[in-house]
Amino acid sequence: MRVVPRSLWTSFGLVSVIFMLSPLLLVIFFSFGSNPNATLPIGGLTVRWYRVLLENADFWRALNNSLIVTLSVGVLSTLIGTAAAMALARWPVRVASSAMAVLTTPVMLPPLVLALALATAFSTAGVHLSVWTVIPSHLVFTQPFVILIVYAQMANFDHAVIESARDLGASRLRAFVTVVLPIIRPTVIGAALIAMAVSLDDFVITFFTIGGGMTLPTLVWGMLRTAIDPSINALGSIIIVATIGSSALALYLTRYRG
Amino acid sequence: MSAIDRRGTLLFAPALAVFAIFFLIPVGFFFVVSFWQLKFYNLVPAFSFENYGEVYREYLHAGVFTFSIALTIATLTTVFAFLLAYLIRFRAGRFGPALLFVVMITLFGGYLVKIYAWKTILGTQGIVNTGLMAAGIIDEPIAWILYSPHAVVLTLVHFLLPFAVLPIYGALRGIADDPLEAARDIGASPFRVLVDIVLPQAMPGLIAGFALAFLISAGDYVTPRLVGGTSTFMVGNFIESQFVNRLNAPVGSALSFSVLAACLVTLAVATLLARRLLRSR
Amino acid sequence: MQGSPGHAMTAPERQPLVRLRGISKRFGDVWAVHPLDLEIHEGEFLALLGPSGCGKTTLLRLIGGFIEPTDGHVEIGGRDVTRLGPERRKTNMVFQSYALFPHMTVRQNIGYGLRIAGRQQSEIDTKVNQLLELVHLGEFAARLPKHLSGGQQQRVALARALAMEPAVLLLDESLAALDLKLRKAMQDELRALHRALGGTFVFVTHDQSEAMALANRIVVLQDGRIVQDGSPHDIYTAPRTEFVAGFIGEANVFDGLRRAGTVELPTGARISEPGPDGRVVVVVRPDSMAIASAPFDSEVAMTGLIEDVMFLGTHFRVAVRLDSGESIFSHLDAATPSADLAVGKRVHVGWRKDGRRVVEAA
Repeated sequence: MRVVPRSLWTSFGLVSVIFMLSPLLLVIFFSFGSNPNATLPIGGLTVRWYRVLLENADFWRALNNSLIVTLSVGVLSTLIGTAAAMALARWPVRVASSAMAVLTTPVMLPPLVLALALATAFSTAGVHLSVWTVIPSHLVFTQPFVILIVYAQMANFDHAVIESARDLGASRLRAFVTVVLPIIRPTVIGAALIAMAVSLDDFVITFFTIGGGMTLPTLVWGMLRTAIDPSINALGSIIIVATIGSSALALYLTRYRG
Repeated sequence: MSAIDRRGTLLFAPALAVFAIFFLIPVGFFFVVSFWQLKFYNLVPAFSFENYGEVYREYLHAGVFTFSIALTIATLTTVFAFLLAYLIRFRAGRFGPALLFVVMITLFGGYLVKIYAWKTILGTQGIVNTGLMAAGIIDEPIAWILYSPHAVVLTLVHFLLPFAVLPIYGALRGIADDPLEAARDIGASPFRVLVDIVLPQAMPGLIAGFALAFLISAGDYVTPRLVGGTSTFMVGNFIESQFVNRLNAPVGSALSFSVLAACLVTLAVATLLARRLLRSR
Repeated sequence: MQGSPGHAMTAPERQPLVRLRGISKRFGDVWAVHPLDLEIHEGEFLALLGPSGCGKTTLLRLIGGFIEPTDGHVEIGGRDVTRLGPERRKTNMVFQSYALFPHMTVRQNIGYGLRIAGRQQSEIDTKVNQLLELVHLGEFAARLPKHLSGGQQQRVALARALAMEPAVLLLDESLAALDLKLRKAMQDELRALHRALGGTFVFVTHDQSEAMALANRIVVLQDGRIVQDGSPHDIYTAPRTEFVAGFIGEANVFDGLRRAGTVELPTGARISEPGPDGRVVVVVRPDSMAIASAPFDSEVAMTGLIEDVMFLGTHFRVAVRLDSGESIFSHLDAATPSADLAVGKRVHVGWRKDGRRVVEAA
């Protein structure tokens, strides 16, 4: 005796999936259509917009900056976040969760406030804005993701495995390299991919901390503010595939189930 | 023991340094700046509530509007997210993981790209209007679908939904099946089970999802700018314009912290109300 | 509390393999192990037995070097190893969770310690093959631990520890996760291994029947203190305290009061047992508790009504409500005529003098 019939749940699920996915799928769909107005009918199939994009010097500049930022943030936040998670795993659960709650506040703050705070601080300190100011700004809100993901793994980690390696003669470092690292490697790689997707996705904080430069999202912003450039669909599709692709891979690697 | 503690602290130090240098100090300084004055485009240290006075005089109505729209967005998002999380946890069976996967990948995909996508969908030449026209329901495009508060609400609910589903699902996943069946066995109706057992345990997730949706939408300026039109100016737009157009960091900062303070008070009240409501049963 | 009391195996001049001197461990305000001495000799199969929280695992981990003592010294083979970590001790542990390396095959798990020690690959292979055969896992050598059953994982953990040829093999509740049948099989295997390899095994358990089945010496712990140390037979037949009596096997326990060498029981019965005046406890094992239809030769003469009878295959378990109000139970031979065991039947109850022990009250 269910109050809500099964069919209603099924249609709710379907509508939700369509609601969540269709905007993204439409952008990809229109990126291959010859109609420059991004609407129906899309006209013939074409890769023209991708060609226009690839001929745009700004695209290459933005891509270059995005790669620098994303890869640096990926490597740094993974190193810093994993180290922190290892430390937290040795602390009492209450202390560790309070520490994580504090470190996660940057994610809860509206990005605009954090962006303006950083921009004001940088300019007052006389720091020249560039990709090198974007990277540490991104670390603040990417490292919580790495810490939470790696900590979740370490919390389930059987510490007796480390003791066992030590019992069999391994030094602390040797035990970490031969036992701990191989076991948590998929999780760490997954966390790195999530951090990179979050970084690549960011517009607001990048916009206020990069100065004159541009990344892929700030290029989208520029295109949106000028006359409609149909290659924006191609650029959007590239961002969608890159961020969703890396996060889907990350989910597969970490076997994350919510 | 102390050797282990020292090593632990050392491993934690880099993360703490990043947090302190690029979050605590800038945000703290930004707060201090809200009491400073601007003279000839230069920041002058002071201790004045003048900026907060200006915020109160000039932006109160924008604040109230922003709050009403942010509350609408947060409420819609939380309800939608709860239903979706409930479906995934209790009703979807073997489709649950697939549904969860869709939720998680749509966390990404680009914030601006999503806003842009809604702009094309809702525009006069977008597929909603062309679809309605092709079906003969309307004769000419409805202009107010785009560039309206509705468009802002729709776009932000779409953007925030996956962020709200995850904490709620996390809470629902922690609920064991046995107590639910036990409650049914004792004679509770499905509605009573929902209210007495599921909702109280889902509370931390609901609060987290609501808070995130509320804070992000109250502080957003890109969405209203791109799909809100001239009638939907939110506080974020004023904060941004204080910086970008007027180069007035102190007022921008005072505005930011006024919004944050109001948000936190609102969230505290909302949390208290929700707890009271569930406890009274 | 005390060192090693005179159990049969201790030859006075023999050098103990492991010697704990004044060892103690405190976590915060809690004493997990109070200062105690313990000597373990070559060839012993020793059980550290006690309920959870008695300090038995802490004691094992102190021997293995996983924790440092708050005070006292650990010697292994005459050498002070108190400050040495587990990687520098000739002890190896079989963990309660097995702690197998999930990303390594069975072969790699067993060979890990030898590889760390920098042995030649050919030597490692030979040794691992021997061990695989010893624990009957030859055909599983290339599998990952997650593809093994609990019992098989247990044997990998055992082989991995044995590969290091430890002076002392430590086992931490290693059989607890297995089901009853598998546990019995592993007990047989462990005894066979100990016979075949010799060596010294120390294991921790809360299961008195397991301690009885495996060990040739049992150390009973309570609240971080050693309360009795002896052979399984000693501990069963001559428990030193009420706790040991209750913990090891089933027992009927009577509170008593001793005055001038005579103990008075609440049933009104009196028995003579020299000792200081005060509260004592009289312990009678159910197999020493006799029941008969007619009066018989007994230290005490009591009567009561049969309350419940359970047939357990090898024996009957009979509960009797004494006229004085106490309940006792007795194990009777399976051949006892069932007419003698009707519920509600009036019976005589008693024991022979050598069937009871008088111990200090808790």
